[in-house]
Amino acid sequence: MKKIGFTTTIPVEIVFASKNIPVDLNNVFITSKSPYKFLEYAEDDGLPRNTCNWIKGIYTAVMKSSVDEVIAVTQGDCSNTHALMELFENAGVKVHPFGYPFGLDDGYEYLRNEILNLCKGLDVDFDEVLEYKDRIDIIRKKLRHLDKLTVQGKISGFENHIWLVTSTDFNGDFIKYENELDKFIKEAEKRSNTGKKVRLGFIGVPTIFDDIYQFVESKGASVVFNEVQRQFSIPSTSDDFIQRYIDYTYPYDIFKRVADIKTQIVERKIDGIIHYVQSFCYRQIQDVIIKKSLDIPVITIEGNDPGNVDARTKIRLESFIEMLCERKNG
Amino acid sequence: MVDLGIDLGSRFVKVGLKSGDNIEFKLYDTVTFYRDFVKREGENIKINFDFLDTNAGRVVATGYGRNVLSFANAEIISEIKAHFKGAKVQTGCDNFTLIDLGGQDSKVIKVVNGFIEDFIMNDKCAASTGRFLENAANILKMQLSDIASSVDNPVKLNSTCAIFSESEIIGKIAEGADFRDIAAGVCESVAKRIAPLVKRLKSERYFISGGVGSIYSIRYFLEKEIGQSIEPLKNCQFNGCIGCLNY
Ligand code: SF4
Repeated sequence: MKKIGFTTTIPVEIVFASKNIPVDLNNVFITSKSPYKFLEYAEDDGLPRNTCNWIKGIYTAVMKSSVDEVIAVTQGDCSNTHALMELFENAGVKVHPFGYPFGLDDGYEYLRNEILNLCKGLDVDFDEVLEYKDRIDIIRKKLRHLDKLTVQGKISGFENHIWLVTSTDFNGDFIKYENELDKFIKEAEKRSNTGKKVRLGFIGVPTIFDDIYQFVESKGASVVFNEVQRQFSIPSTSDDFIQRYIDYTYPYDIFKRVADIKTQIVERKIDGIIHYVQSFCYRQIQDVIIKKSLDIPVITIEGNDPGNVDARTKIRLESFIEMLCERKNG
Repeated sequence: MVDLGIDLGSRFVKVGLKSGDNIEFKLYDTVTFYRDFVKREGENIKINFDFLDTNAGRVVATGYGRNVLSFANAEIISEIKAHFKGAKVQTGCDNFTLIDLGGQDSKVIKVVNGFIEDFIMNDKCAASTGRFLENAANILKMQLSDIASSVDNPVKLNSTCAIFSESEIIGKIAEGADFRDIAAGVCESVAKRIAPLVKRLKSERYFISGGVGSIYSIRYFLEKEIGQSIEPLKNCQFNGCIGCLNY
């Protein structure tokens, strides 16, 4: 059994079917005892200071041998991954490239090929993957239920974030994950509705701050939507395995994301959006389109280092929540 | 007995004292104010009202965020709220954009039908703030009041960072540029940094407040940038206090 790391969400069923352990490298970095050390390590190795810290975290996770092989998403995620992949190859790490189609016209065929290639690379039969799909679908369904409980105010935005963001690799063991999930949901269902006045959604890459949810929720707002984390859990209910990863919005263009966000704003009755962007991430440019396309207030928050939310960002967030509160009260 | 509205800025602490219909304003250096009038009492941090001749009534304060500020004997409101309220009370207007330029922060607040519609604060950059202007004045060995009237032949400054701008200013001096032209250039560069924020929150009417807001040449260049007139609030630097007193 090998540990197979990946740089962003991939069809994890393939890794399970190959009888290896999937490891989301982002999670290795951010849940480590001192994420800062990961950044220092990468910078000592020469990674530029003006590069996104997620990239540095992933780099160090691989270099410190957290995994045996790496699936690098070369298209549809971060262009920085290209250079990372080269660094890994240079260091003798086995890399499987994986790309999401850029144009969606013949996207289905493209993605099918990529998926079959990855199967070949990991030496697994596609039929076996489909067996794992059926098994893991049971968990995905529970995650959709968990997401619903969040909208109802029984599960906090932070809990929602953690469960959905860890569903990229199910912490390497989906059976254990499912057991814990069952327990959690059972407990949460008994809770009374803790929903607060103002309903917020987080969109954009997952935040590097470790207390932003707690801060926002302590100021009288509920986070009822985590855009990409929800996408990471592959919420599409299509029976077709390939189609599901076509429906997955994160690796494609911004317009697909915006359409998804707009639907969720209405369904979840969201009052305001926090667009989280990472310093030095090219996705910041898309903020322009997001602000234009959404017709509820959007605040853009930029994070760089792991750790607590800085004082300035707190002031901005607090004022944003206040503003939404007053609007709501008319 | 007086009610107090206190705006704890990064450079100055502004205090408004209200008894009846009468409001009096006081300005303190921030560090001096903390040294002389803020005391720790056991678990609590309290404002010591020794600077008053009478007893304090209701005390509302704003400043560097209620997350950072906590006083056992004052209510804290956010800066956005305080400035919005102050402008609303001072102007009697329900639809406007307020540009507040302070020691280290710039804020732009758009008000529609009497409610805050949106706001922007400068992020991680001091090059558009009072502190930057003060440093520039020091380098140029000019009074702020002289800088405030310099609007002709602005020298172009390209740096995007406060610190690098300072060395650029020294470079211009070395090239023999006129000091007043450099001063005008400094004001123009401040205005150029704020203009995009203002343009994002368009309104029919613009008001300006804060220490930097009272500087004529900043307003002059900012008006040029946005192509509309900007009205200074009457008590420009004390707008936050007025907001607190009316909260
Ligand atoms: S935050 Fe942006 S730059 Fe960083 S890894 Fe993700 S996509 Fe790439």
